[in-house]
Order: sequence, then C-alpha cells, then structure tokens
Amino acid sequence: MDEPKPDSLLPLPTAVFHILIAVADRDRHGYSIMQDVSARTAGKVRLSPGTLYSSIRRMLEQGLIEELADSPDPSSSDERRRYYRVTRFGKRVAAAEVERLKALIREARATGLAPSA
Amino acid sequence: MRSLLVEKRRARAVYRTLLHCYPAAFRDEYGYQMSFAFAEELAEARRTGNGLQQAAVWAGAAADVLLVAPREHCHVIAEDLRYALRTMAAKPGFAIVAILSLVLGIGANTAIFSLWNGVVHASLPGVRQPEQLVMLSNPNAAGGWHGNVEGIRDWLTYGEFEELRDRATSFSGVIASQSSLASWQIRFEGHDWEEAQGRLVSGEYFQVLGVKPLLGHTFTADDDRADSPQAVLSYHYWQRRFGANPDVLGKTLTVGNALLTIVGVTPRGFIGETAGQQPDLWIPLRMQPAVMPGDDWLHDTPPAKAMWLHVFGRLKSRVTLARAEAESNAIFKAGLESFYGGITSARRRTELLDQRLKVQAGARGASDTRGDFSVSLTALLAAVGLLLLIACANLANLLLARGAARRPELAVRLSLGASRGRLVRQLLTESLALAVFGGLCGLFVAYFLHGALVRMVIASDEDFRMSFALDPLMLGFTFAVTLAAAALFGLLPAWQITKIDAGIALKEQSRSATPGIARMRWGRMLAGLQLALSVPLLAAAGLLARTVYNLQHVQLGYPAAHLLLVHVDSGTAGYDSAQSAVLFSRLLEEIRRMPGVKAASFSSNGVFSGSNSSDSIEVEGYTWRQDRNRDSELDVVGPNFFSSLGAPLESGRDILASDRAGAPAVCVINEAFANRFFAKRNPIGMHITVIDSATRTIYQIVGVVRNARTQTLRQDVKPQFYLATAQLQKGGRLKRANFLIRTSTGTAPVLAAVRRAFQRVDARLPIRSAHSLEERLASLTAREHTTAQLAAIFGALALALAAIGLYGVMSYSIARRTGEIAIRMALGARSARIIAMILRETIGLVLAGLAAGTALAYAASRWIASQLYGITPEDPFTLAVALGVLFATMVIAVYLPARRASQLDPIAALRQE
Repeated sequence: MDEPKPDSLLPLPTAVFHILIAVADRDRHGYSIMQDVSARTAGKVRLSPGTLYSSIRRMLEQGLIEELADSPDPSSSDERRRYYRVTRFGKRVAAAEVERLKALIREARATGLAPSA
Repeated sequence: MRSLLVEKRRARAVYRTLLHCYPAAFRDEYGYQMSFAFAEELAEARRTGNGLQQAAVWAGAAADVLLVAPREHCHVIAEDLRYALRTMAAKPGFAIVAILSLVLGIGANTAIFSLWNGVVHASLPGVRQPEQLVMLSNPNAAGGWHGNVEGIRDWLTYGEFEELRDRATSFSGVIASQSSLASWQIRFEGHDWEEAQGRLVSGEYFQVLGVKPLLGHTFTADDDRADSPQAVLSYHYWQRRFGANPDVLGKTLTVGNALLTIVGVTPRGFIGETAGQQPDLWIPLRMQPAVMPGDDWLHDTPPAKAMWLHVFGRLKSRVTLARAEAESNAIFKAGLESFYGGITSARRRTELLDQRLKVQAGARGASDTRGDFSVSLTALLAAVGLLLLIACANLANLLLARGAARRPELAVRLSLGASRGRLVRQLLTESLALAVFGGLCGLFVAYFLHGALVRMVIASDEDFRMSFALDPLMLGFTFAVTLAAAALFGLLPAWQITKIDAGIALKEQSRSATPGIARMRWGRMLAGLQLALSVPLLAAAGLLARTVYNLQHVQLGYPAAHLLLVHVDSGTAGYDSAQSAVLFSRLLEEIRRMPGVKAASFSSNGVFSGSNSSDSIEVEGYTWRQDRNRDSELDVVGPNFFSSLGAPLESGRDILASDRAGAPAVCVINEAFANRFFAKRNPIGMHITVIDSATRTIYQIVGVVRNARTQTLRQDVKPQFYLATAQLQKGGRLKRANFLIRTSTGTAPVLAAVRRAFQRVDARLPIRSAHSLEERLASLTAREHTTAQLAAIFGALALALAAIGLYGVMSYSIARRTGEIAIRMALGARSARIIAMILRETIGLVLAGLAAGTALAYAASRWIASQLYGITPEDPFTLAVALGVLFATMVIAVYLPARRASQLDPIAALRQE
C-alpha cells in the first residue's frame, strides 16, 4: 500500500500528537502513555482510556504507530499488555506537524500577535 | 484490605458494563486494555488519597461513553458503507436493478401518500390552530337546497347561522361560508366582463380562521349587520390578475348588481375553509341579494328554507365536541320550532322538526370530493404498498443470490474470527445504504409523480388545487417506508447468508455442483410470493379497466354523439324569472337557425350538469304509504325537449311550444315514474299534483318517455316528471338554462357559433360551461379512467418485477446445476427434454404462487367493490385473464434460462466442472 503524504493527516488532533510524543523515545503500553502525557504536561492533559484507545485505533489504521508482537518487558506484571511503537511514517508526520506549528508561530510573531523569542 | 479488593472488582465490573456502549469490534479489540488502564488510573487516584481525583477518573469514563463511543459507532458504520459502496460499484448491474425497483417502489408510495395526505388527511393551510375548528354542516356536501329536509343537515340557512353566532357559548367564534365555490362574471372598472371564482363569507370569517391580511384589511363583524360592498382578493388572484400590484386596494369591481371595493389581500397559501379549492375573491354574505340579483337567500318564508351555508365554529378551550353539539342543537331546534310554528298539521310539523346538526372536527375543512378520492387513493396506496413488497422480495432474492456468491468471502472472514453479529451488521448496512439511496431518489420520483397525480385529480375536478408539500408527516412516511423496505429485504438474506458453516462453505467453493439447498428454497419461496402478490394487482387493474369500459358504454337511452350542452346563468347577469324565459326563447330561436343544428331545446337541470330538483307530489289513483317521503324528481324543459335529446316516447307526446301559460298544464313522465305509480294502468290523461310551498298545481300527463339517463352513470334511473317552462307558476325559479343542441356533424363549429350568438344577445351573459356530451361523459369517468390507468401501470410493474425475480432464481439454480445437466446431455438427453424437465420442476412453484394469489385477490376484492360498475369483484373472467397473463409471463421467465441450459456443450461444461 502506498504511504499517504504526511501533510494529508495535518493538523494532528491533540491527543494523537501527545501519544506520538509519548512513544517517540521508547515503546509503551496504554497506561504508560497516559502516565507519560500527564507527567509531561504537569497533569494539564489527561487522556481517558476511551480517548486513548480510540486514538490508538485510528493511528494504527493510519500507520502512525504499530503494535509490538512481543512484550519488550518480560518482567511485566501482565503479559497481555500491548505495547506500541512509532513508525517511520509516524515520525515523518510528527515532524510535519512540528513544521506546521513553527510556521504558525512565525506568522503570529510577524504580525506582532505573539512576542518574538 | 479485603473490602478494597471487593471495591476494585466492583469498579472493574461497572467499567466493563460501560464498555458495552462501544461497538463490539472495538470492545473485542481494546476492551481488556481499557479496563486495565482504567483500573490502574483508579488505583493511582486512590493512592493519592484524593477523592476528587477518583471522581475525575469516573467522570472521564462517563464522558468517553458519551463522546468516544458514538464516534466509534460512526466509524464502523462509515466503514461498512464504504465497503457497501465498493461492492455495489463492483457489480453495477445488480445495484442499478436493485435501486431502480426500490426507487420506483418508494417513489410511488410517497407520491400516492402525499396525495392521500393532502386530500384525506392534511389540515387547512394558512389557518391558525385548525384543530380547534368544528363544522356544524356536512363537510362532504357542497351546494344548496331550497325547501325542506329531514334528518342530519347538510347545510344551514343564513338565519340559522345568525342564531348560532349570537347565542352559542361553546365557540369563541362562529362563521359561515357559501358551501359551493361560485363562478361569477365580474368586471373591473374600465375592463371587460371576466369570470372569477369566489365565495360569500360572514364578517368574522378571516378573524375566526386566524388569517391576517397581507395587504389592507379583511371583513369585520360589522359587515354582518349592514350591507358592506367590499371584496378581499386571494394572494394567487392578486398575483395572476394584478401582477402583485399593491395599488389594487381601493379599485372597484362589479358582480351582479353590486359595486364592490377591494379592501384587502390574503396571505400566500390561504385557501379558505374548503380543502383543494382556491377562490379568487371573497365577498361579505350580506351582499348575496346584490351579487345574485333576483334571489334572496338571506331570508326564508315558511315552510321553505334556503340551505346553502357551511358553518364553522372555533371551540373554546375545554369545551368538548359533545357539549358543543348539544348546545348547537338546542339553539337549532328552538329556531325550527319558531320557524315552523305556523304549520297547522301536527304530522307535517313533526316531520319538519325532525332535523338536527352533527358537529364534527373541522381541521381538514370541507370537501365534497374528499370522500370519493379517499376510497380510490386508499386503494392505490394499498396497490403501491404491494408493489413495494414485490420490489423488496426481488431485492431480497438478488441479495440472496449475491450473498451466495459471497459465501466464500464471508466464510473466510468468519474463520478469521469475525463475529456473526458483525457480518449481519455489515450486510444490513449494505441493505440500509441501498434503501436510503432508494428513498432519496424516491423523493424525486415522488415529486414528479405527484405532479402527474394532481393533474389527474384536476382533470376529474376542475376546482381542485394542491401543491406538493414536504411536510414532516410525509417525510416520516418515506423514512418509515425506506426502513421497512431495508428490513424486509435485508434481514432474510443476512440471516441466511451468515448461517453458513465456515468449514463447509470453504469446501463448497471447489464443488460447485452442490447447490445451496436452503438458499434455493428461500429464493423459490420469494419468487412464489411475488407471483402471489401480483395476482391481486393485475386482477384489480382488469376489474377497473372493465369498469371504465362499462361506464363508457352505459345505455343512456339516447344517442351520445353530436350533442352539445351549453349552460347559461341568466340570474347572475341580473335577469329575473320572467325576463329569463323571454331570453331563453330568443336564444333558442337563434340556435335553431344556425347551420348544422338539427334540433335544440333546453331544461333547467340539464344533462349530467350535477343539479337536480324535487317536489312533493300526489299522483292520481296512488296512495302514499304513511312513512314514505312524497318527493319525486322533476325537471323543467323547453319545447321539443325529448325529440332534441333523442329519447323516444313510449306513448303520448313531447312538451310542445303550444304548452304555454294559459293552456292546460301538462307534464311528461318517464318509464320509471310510470312503473312506480301506474303499474298496469295507462298514465296518459291521469293527473299529478305538485305541492310547492303553499301552492298546489295539477298537471295532466300527456306523454311517457323511455328512461333517459341524465343524472348519474352508476345509479338506476329514478322516477321523474317533466314540466313545461312556459307553464311554470309565478314562484317557479328559472334563472338558468341548460341548452341541448343536436348537431348534424361535429359540435365544435356549432359551439363557436353559439358563443357568438349569445355574445350578440347579451355580452355579460355568463356561459357556465359548454361542451359536447361525450366530453362531459369523459370527465365524469376521468377519475375511474386514471385510477384504472394507474392500476394497469402498477400491475405491469408487478408483472415485470415478478418475472425478473423468477428469472433470476431460475438462472441461478440452473447455473448451479450445470454439471448435472451436462451429464444428462452426455448420456443422451435431448434439449427438449432438458427444457421440459426444468419447466416441470418449476410448474409447481408457479401454480402454488398463482393459487395463493387467487386467494389473496378474493380476500382483497371487497376493498374495490365500491369502485366497480357493471362487474362483480369476483368476476371469474377477469381473474382468469390475470392468471393467464401471469402464467404465460412466468413460463417465459423460466423458459429462457432453461433453453440456455439445454444448449450447453456437455464436454466443455464438464471439463469446467
């Protein structure tokens, strides 16, 4: 199957971007993603299980993340936990989203809407 | 510790229950992970010991159910739809046939329903809170009656309306209107005479109906108390006649002897109190004597009453219909008592007092055509319902056939772990997608069909107006029909197809010689059902067609060809009875002088004009039974009436020019009258006494005419007697004449000459109608004609759909039996034997379908009995023809695939197997 263009998925929903960030540095299971997002945003963004797995379902379909066949952590309390990892395409989409946001900030600064860095 | 564990378990159980709000597929995939994450989240919140945080976790779960679950459901549906569209696009032939039959089915249902809704059910448009309106007169009757009646009143008199308006406390307002839409000759200042349709209405008419004028003002209660020369125009007329010019207010117009000023224009969409009729203008009731010079319908002289008004009341809140009826009747009876107070005969008084009002819901308004239409429309609704059922059976069959082709695919999905529910859902979504698409297109079809249907209605009722309205009820109906169709044709295949055993179905792929026995059984049953449903439709079409034929070939008792009917209304043009008599003689002379005219005469009621008269009579040598109504129908005719009509005289003579005032009073009776009153006696020379109000006039019978059908096509000819116009007593009304012109060739050139001649005599003389008798008869049977045409179209569609259904099933089953047939042929079976074998196997199915259909047709026959004429609903010939047509079509539908099978090359076929 041809990969879609990263731009076609932009702008990314907030939850999706947060999940991408959470799985960027290491493979995580669902609850770990929830914890990571909460910690990273000092509790401001909390993903509920429904939002999380609805986003995961969509991200799997879009090819942004993939599910690992085996648990990377054999000592895990429950081997039925599922782990997710960002794909190459996921990384490209995240990069494209970052570029989009950067451009947006540039625009805001150029018009004086936001202070210059 | 133990309680904490219990609590944890309980929380997870609650969460698992919440998970059922998500689609099954999503739940199966992520449910465990979600409940796991939820438990950990909750445990974390507990560890912090913050109650608020625990509550937040639960709130998050609840919000998920409300926000995320519906989104997931939409996702599944969208996926199914995408899949459905892909499969449809892959087999466009199937999709086109399926959608077309659905579109036609749903479209026809919606169109007929919209008409049914508009004619039979819908409330009056543009009227405030129509549900509060009640009718004190008969909504189904339009017209009027001068004289006396018994029983429930059709119409009220002006005096009775006034009493009710002033004394009834059940209503917040009472209004009256002329029950029939009048055609007036009117003239706007500086223009020629032209025709307009209008109604006389009481002062508070517009207020009680809750109509605010678009321009100017409407009438008021004061307009009931004094003559008020005003007119209010309808929006349509204002648009059409005045190009929506606001300067129309203050302009004057003449109607009869009245000079009226236009004071207002009603808002768009308002038609008044009668459904399906759009008046051009309204005039206050008090203006009646001026509008119709020579007639006073506002005042009655005992014992005769002028009954011509519809009366509506707006019920006060919390007043029941029963209370309003009781009060109205009390007022009405008191009025009767005082009106008939002067009648001395106690028996006659009791008879005259036997009258009452029936108060009924008035939201739908009055309509004298609604009753007729509702029967044919309800029958048509049933017919298109059957048609939709047949279309659904076809679709179910097609889906079954396609489902069988998809068995391997479904089996693969089942064996890969897809749940049966998921597959049923998938198949139902496809059916629903088909149905919704069919429903949307059906609305368009309905829009165009509706136009054609309304034209059909208008053809049979010139005053009828109706527009297509997408009201909630109709959309609801279409929606319900669409869903019902989807369920009907979707459920059975979904259930059948998913009943497969994955292992067997996968193996089946490689052994195509094994037919899906169950599928075949269902397919054959559906084809049989279609056949059965088609029988009543075809039989009904046949019965209606023969009814039209019978009506068009009714024995009139005189030749129908070359007869011209011209209706002149001299009363409206200001002529009184005496002047009218002179006018009619002069017109008759003019007509008789015209080239191409063989004979001419005129009468008051005319031929199939819709009006009739009756009077109380005494017949020499005949004693009335005590309880019998002593009325007999009569008509007042000009000289040589019967010879002009072409109705032969049984004995005696015609009414002649010599039967003038002063000469001995004579009359002619018809055969029915002779049989009724003079059984075995010779009526010639006997006498009839006509009792009109207080006068008694004796007429000698000079002729007996053969029964001539001049009133209705369907009913038997009634006893009737005919008087000479020139011998009418002073009180006798003669304000209109129906000229009867027998031409030697075509009627059209004579009609043109007649119009010119009348114009010469008096330019403002209104010609109410002018047409040949054949045209009149055609318009009388127009509704039956269109109903029969529609039934024939629906019958043909049913036949086609049933044929397609059977053809499809047979093609499929023969394709599955290719191997068997090839072996038979390889063993020496000839083509003819193969065809005979297949026909033999199918004949049972066809015969069973036809037998069931015959039973259905008999059961349904009483529904259309009232629509038929000259034929019984169980007519065996019609049924036999319908069955024969169906049988022949079905044999062809089976023969075609059978012949194809018989021509296959056994070697090639077996190799392919």
